[in-house]
Amino acid sequence: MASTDKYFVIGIGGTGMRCLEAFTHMCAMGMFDSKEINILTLDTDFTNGNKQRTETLIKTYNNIKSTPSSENGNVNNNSFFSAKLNMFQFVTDYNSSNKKRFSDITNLKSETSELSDNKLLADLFLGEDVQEFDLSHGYRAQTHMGSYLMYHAFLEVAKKLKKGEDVLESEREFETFLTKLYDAKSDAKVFVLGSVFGGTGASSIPVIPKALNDALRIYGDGKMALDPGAKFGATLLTEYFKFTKPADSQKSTRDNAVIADSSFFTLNSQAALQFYQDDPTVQDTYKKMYHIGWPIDPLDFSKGKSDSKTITGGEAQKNSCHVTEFLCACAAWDFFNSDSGLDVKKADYLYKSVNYKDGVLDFSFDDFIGEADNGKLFARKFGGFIALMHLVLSKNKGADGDDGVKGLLGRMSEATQAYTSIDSLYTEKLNKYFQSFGYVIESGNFIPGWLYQIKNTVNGKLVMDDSAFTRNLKELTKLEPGHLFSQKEYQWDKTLMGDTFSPFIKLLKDDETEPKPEQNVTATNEKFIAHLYNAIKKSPKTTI
Amino acid sequence: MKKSLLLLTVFGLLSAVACAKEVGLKGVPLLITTTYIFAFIFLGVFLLLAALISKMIAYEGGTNPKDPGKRKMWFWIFAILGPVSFYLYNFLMIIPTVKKGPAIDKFSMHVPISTAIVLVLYIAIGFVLSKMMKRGKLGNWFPSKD
Repeated sequence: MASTDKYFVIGIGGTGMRCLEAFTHMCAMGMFDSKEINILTLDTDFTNGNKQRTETLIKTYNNIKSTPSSENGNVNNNSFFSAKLNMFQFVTDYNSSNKKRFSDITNLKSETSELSDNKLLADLFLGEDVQEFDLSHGYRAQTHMGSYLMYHAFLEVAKKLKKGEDVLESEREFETFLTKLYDAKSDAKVFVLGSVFGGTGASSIPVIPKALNDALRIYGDGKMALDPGAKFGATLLTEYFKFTKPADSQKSTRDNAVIADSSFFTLNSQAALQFYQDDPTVQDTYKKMYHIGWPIDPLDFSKGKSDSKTITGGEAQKNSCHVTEFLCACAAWDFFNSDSGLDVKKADYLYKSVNYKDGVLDFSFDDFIGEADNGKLFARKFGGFIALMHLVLSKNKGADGDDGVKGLLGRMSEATQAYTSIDSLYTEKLNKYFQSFGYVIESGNFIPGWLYQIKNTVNGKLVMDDSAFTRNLKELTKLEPGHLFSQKEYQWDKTLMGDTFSPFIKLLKDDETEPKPEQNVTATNEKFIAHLYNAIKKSPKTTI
Repeated sequence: MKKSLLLLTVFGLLSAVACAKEVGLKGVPLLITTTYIFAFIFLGVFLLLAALISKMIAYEGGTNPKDPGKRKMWFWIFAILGPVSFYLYNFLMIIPTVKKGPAIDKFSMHVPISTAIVLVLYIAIGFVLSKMMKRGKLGNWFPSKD
């Protein structure tokens, strides 16, 4: 990892959005210390529930980091929420009447002759139903058409930006992203998150580097282009979820003539992998591609939902998260933190296996970003953030109506007056973030957040002791934040009564856990978070 | 069972007092010194008890934790209990051993004085300890207002 590297992440489609969600949580864990990362959310469906959830999460992250001098905060080191995130959006607008279908966008309707070249060419590659379905909910697993449309969407916006007329806010955001990418030159490291078996992600991953390059050429009037030294990496995420098979009745209208069918996802994945293996453009443009797959039963997104129809997109598409998405975010970590294998002419395909026995998958802390020091780093950051989540939500009742962060702040105020300027608005925001990460209790019911959703997809061990993921409300109130690891040496000091909270508070109030200059924290909110980080880091009997 | 144990202790103490040799005028200066030494012992013991109990009270979570209030409450309970028990000890165990007349006249004023010293020093030392350990649990005895 060179100190001059500039980092870019592009999340595409519903799966890409959930990968971004995992990526944001990794940033909150402090896995991307000292990095400023530019994030582009790319989707065809701006009402998509997953997209909205992820964007809201990143906005909350930025609100937590915000300082008087910087809207998105600063880059910090050895702390939670240490990475600075700049979010940009790109949405292909397929909601207006003249852009709703392939036939509208390509002006095929204006072709009067049945034997016109354009019409014949379109018919050669695309069935009539594919040319006519409603695009506002994405490409519906029609990647042959999706790649074409996504590429052209980039070029259309670049032309519009160059003209400078009627430019939308989201298009301005794309312009900023494009300019930052251009300015980064050979220091640019771009990681693309998305699936290869669905619609938008699968359509876009192969064309993104070329589309960005050509968009830059148009925008810069031929004088701008991606630096040949810019490095691209991507996930090759194969099928890991399923949903209700669409009924024929649902497909009876022109808008819904094509609906993605998850029973074909395995076939789609196989075809995609063959393509990525053989396609020279992909192999030239990408430096590293990370194979991520799921060996056991796919997660059923339709389970427990009353919808009789297949959800094609929109607000209703707010699917729960999966551990494979977390692994995709870990792939981004690997790409950003390694210099080796980036000067290759042909893409390198990477994979890693996980302990699997008798139908049970067990994840240890060595399974995410590597072993040895990387494994320990993961244990420290992942374990530390979960401990803080339980301190806020379980011990200080932040999941059940109280403001758990304010509870911790109150404890710190008994020892220092350094954080008196932090108000309830801020603590509530941070508390809300932990709810989206962990869980919330509503009317006595446990509502899982990201962490519990991913644990739900792992039938074996997920790094820590199973008690760390209990959903039992009584057990949660008694849960010891310092006893989350099975390994005794990683557990925290405890009192004679077995209480780990009191020794933690003692550390939190000790001046040795106050923020240090090397953490690069200047604003009060940054110092507050760094202080919490230091106390958690010092809590285990053996330093992780 | 508890009641009978308590009665046994009280009777035991009273009989010890009854058997004790009476202190005359000559012995009063020594008794006064002993009383002040005992006052300091009581002070130390009750401060130690207050500190121990404060340490044993675990931190609670939430925005309105009860534990700082509990520590404060125990500090003041011992602030009252210390001087009261010291006074009662002198009243029940020491004063009956002093001869009536000039001896008791000379000694009796030192009992309230030493009791007041126990109270004042308990609060003063408690305050100092609380401020010295303001980051710890004893800091709850006199929390900072700012």
